[in-house]
Amino acid sequence: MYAALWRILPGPLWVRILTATTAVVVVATLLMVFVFPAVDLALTTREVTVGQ
Amino acid sequence: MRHRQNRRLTTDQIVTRVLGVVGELLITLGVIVLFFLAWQLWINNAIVTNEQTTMTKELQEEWQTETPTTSTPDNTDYGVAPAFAGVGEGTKFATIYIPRLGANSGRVAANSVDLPSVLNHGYYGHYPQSQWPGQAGNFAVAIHRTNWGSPFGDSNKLESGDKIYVETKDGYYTYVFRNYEYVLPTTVSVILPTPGKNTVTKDQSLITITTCNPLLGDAERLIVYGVLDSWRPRSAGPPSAIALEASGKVS
Repeated sequence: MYAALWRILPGPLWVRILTATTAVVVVATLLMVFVFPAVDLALTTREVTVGQ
Repeated sequence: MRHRQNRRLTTDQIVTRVLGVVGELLITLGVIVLFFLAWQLWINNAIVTNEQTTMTKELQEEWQTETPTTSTPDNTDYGVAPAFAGVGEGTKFATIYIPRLGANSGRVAANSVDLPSVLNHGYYGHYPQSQWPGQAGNFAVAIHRTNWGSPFGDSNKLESGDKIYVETKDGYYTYVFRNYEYVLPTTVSVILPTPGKNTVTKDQSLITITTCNPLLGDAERLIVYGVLDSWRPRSAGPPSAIALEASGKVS
């Protein structure tokens, strides 16, 4: 899968490396900003308040 | 036969390719799970702590309408603490410092105990039905014990007499740590005006901080009680114990 993606990437080697790195950074950012807080809330909610 | 094999894949080759893709997806998932753990344990902690530090400085600047003229000694008596006027639901209104928990213990307090919007961003959440600093009764807040940028991991190591400072736009309320209580999560009576009793005890202002217990679980609540000891107006400058942090010099 990743080998195929790598072959699809256009341009010379340094452009491909740059594209791939950017893609990884974008995915990591999306995960940290949107996915992880939601997963955190669903999985590891730790209550600190008192309530009925 | 050889010619045909080159042009279309055999069943074996298809299975190998599919398994290859599945394998790569599983490896990716594993990496994401590890990344999530790193985010939860360290990255998010650092981000939230940083946000809180920035926010305490911003509030400090917003409230500091005039520079304190002289730094008055900590024991100067400014009389009875005025009651804080209160704010709407969800609004930031104070910074709470507990020097025993470290040089960077200041966290902003907001008027709500909502998990996703308040507590998970490192705030002290004020129980809206409880009283305000300086009011007779109980100023009750909640905060995470660990993670989410919380400085509260060592909160069970407070010693009697330790100070809890609440900074508002009006000034600095000094509470003195009184005692702990370990209770079940349903013990709502701890945030009543007089813990355990729904009546105000005359001239008594308490602070109640609820957090989770044990350290990495939430089967119980650790309750930290403090009693209002003194007050100083903003013009008198911050108490010496939080002077560095409350003037934005420690990050």
